[in-house]
Amino acid sequence: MSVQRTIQWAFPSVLMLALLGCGGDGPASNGTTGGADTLDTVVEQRTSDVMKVGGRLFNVPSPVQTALLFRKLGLAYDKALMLPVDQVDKLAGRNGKALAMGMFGADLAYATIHKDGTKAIAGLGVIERLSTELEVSNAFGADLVDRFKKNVANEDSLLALNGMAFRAADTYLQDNGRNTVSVLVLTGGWVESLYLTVNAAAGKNDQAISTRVGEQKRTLDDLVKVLEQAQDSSLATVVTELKALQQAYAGVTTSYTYEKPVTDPKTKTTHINSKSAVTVTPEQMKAIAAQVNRMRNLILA
Amino acid sequence: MRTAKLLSAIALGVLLPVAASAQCDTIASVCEKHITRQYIPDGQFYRALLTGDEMAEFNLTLFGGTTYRVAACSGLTDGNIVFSVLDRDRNVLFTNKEFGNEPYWDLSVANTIDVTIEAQLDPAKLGSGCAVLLIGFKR
Repeated sequence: MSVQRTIQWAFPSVLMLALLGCGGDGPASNGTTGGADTLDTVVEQRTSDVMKVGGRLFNVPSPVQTALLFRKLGLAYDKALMLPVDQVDKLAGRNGKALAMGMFGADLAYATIHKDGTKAIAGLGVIERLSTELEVSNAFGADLVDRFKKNVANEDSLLALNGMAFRAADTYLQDNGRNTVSVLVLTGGWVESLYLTVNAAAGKNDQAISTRVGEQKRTLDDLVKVLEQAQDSSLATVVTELKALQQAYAGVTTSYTYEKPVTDPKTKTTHINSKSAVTVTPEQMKAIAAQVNRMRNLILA
Repeated sequence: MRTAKLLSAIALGVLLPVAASAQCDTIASVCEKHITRQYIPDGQFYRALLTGDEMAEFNLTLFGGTTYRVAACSGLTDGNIVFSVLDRDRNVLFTNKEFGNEPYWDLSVANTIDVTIEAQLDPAKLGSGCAVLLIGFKR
């Protein structure tokens, strides 16, 4: 069983980092410990020092990928599934705004994929407002909105801008020690993507959709872990609801068979051919959908 | 004298983390060149300050039918990071160690798979520094 501790950087090491700018050249030195925590990173001890990246140990699938799946499957665009932009007026508190910012980000990807420029621009306006209220406006400033408007006919550019803007926000939040807000933005985007997924395919019993829903199990587990680690009482409702979702996911099973990958050095590509399968029964899908809908309503209440 | 020392300590405590963050941001802006226009950024920023043989790791779900680009950087030049992609049974699917510490690599995924990416500084090149990982995916 691994033991976790907050990484402590030696003052000399940090000073060296600060002074050298790009890190110390040459062989590794034996750093001592016992200084200030600099980036809220956490170390998990195994046979060697293993560290969670940026205080977070996982990634959250991009809402853009989910939106692209909708189009690939030919699911109809349903504007009514997206958050109404005036919903933002009802939000109070930092956590709700952070979650909503991620949710509007997922809606932005959904609208963009379906070439609904009007809805996308409106959603971006809400994200800009929320980012200002959350003091992350450097990522979603007037410049981004202008670039978005100029590229409204270019889907590739819009999706790239979406990703770049959310990455900039993530960077800014981590730089300023606001990892909880960062994780809440990701959580909001993830919940909204799942909401769009289960409702866009409601009653269709589509295998690809239920598979994609089932594939979110590890992300859900990671989100719960990282939010629990924050030990922030204001997150209690979010954690409780995510845990209820874990219950709905409890019976979802996965299988995995390793296959040797094939690497092509010329194209710098490795083809990962391992087999995997996820089984989600219709009853499990219903339970997951019900909890996702409940959670979304609670976030917006 | 004591006050001066205290103020210096406070100043260092405030400024050094800022400098470390700035270092990570600079590396990220350099690393972004590897996530070319063909790839959509995943919207997240992964970083860790590493010294010696410390290893950063993170979990990633790679969806089937997608090609991902993983870029790993430290310092202002390429090739300072060793990174490996492992499946849930710890089979090594890829390591850039076998390819001269290439700063980026594409992963073409047939079926959805949960992986762990481990990253370390190459001890022959860097003793400490900020490790940055960026992910993008092809449409």
